[in-house]
Amino acid sequence: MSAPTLHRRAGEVVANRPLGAYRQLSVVLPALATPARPGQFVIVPPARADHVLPRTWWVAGERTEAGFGTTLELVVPGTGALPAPGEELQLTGPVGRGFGLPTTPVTAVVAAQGAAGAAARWLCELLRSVGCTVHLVSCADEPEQHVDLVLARRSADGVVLTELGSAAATLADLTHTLTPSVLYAAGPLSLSRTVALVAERAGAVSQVSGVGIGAEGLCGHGLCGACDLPLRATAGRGATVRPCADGPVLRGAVVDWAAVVDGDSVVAGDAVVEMGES
Amino acid sequence: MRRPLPRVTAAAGCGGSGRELARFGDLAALDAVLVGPVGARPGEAAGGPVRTRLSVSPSGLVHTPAPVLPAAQVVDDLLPWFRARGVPVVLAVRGGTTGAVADLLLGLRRSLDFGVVAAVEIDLTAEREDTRPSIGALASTEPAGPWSADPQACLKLLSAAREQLPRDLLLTAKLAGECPDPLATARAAIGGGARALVLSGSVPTGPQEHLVGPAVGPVTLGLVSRVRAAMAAGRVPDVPVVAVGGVHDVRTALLARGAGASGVQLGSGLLGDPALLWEVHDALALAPDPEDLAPPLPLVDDDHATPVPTTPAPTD
Repeated sequence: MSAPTLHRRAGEVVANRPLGAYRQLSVVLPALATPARPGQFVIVPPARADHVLPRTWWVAGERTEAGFGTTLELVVPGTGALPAPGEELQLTGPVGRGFGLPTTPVTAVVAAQGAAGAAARWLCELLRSVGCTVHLVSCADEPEQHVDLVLARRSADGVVLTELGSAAATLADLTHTLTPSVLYAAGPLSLSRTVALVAERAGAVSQVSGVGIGAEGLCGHGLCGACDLPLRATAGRGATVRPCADGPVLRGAVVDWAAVVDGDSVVAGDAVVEMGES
Repeated sequence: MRRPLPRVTAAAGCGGSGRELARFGDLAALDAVLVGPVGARPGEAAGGPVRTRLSVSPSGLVHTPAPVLPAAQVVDDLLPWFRARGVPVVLAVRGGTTGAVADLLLGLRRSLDFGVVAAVEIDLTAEREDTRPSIGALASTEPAGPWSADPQACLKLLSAAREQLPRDLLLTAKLAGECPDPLATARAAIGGGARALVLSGSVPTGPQEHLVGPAVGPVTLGLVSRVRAAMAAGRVPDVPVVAVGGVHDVRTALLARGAGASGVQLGSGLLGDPALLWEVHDALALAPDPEDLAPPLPLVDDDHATPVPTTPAPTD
């Protein structure tokens, strides 16, 4: 209980600009005690009085300057009322366990989908800064949903664009060619499942986001239980992990993906299985 | 000596396992923390749903029942954690049959850390499984609607739970307005041994789905007022009442207090802002408790053994 408690703070929005199909908010907060990491998110109160659940947004960048404070870059869906520059924004966070960086320079593959692409781009920058070779796989059906490609091409050794339907095949090919030591997934649960299965097949480590940050029907505080995932080691006893509280970044190998009951479409989870059998 | 009813807790399933709340404030500042729902996982063997599903509706949420915490996890992990911190626990227990609840309570009771439990809440809104003898098998179970639809079953369930628990432990029963006769169910629950009622305003929207949130606030207030009126009229034994459903800020918590609820439970309001738990706790600590006001106990002066007039005699 020595950890500081999470509470809502007021930040000032200094920029609100388009980012593909999304918008990027820059928010200035009092300086953070610990630096933010890619994979973390913020919790923002609902936009309207008749909404009950808060909104969750990926953190796509952080810059702390002494005497000024911390500027957080947030990627948000373009819909709904968003604060204009100069306005105040209440937020909790950054919360959660971010992506871990390898201690030695290795080859890494980062897969991203949707608004999480900006967080993945930030992860690529950090991986490069510790000497890793990074390849980014951006999965989207609409061109506008590939976010931050200009910056991503600067920070990654290779950028591969793919449609959702062929994400599993692309990842499997890339894994076969590059033999990466670690695969990262930022995005909805379906992408995490695909990456975890590909990594398992290739004998690599995977770090995946265990909850689709930004999806509806989530509280983000780790209280509602809508993000619970079954654990593999205890398949018989029914132990679960709660990504909003214990994650959102989990090792792909700890989750029992076969038992994940998920409302959204399975991105080619079956395709991976078929490829392995053929 | 009965422990007092906590002024505010999370509603079952809305506070995680209770431990997640420690990230947002000091649990020791609260009266108690609710842990639950505790139960045997019903669909585990059949690969049933492992998590709840929330869908947003205007001013509310539609949710499926929260997955239960396995009793083993509560005994091995949660109760020692709360006991080490000196935080009293309210256990919310859910089960489909009387035997399942009794077995569950027996297992929990055997925990070395059971002393930290301040109250046990039996969920009468849960689905009851009807057990019927059948040919060629011991019994067949099938859903038979919520417990609260059958007052006699509630009486049996509560008295079975009462038998498993220490005599001085507060036993509460949670019931919703969806049952055909809330007053009969309340009478049965109190007759079975419940010494407080948790009244939920959640509205059933389909099989295993309920609407909660600010939208159901008036339903909760109506139910609390109705039960309190019946208590005042002597049709239901007088016990403290806890309101749950639609309590989403300090104002609605005080409204519930005004309607006669001694305590509140926070559900979807907590999902939006967990700090609300401490805000509501502080607000209710300052407001007068209906339990303190309602029973007009005659005050007796020890020295003279004569009733002391509590109010000045009216002049003119």
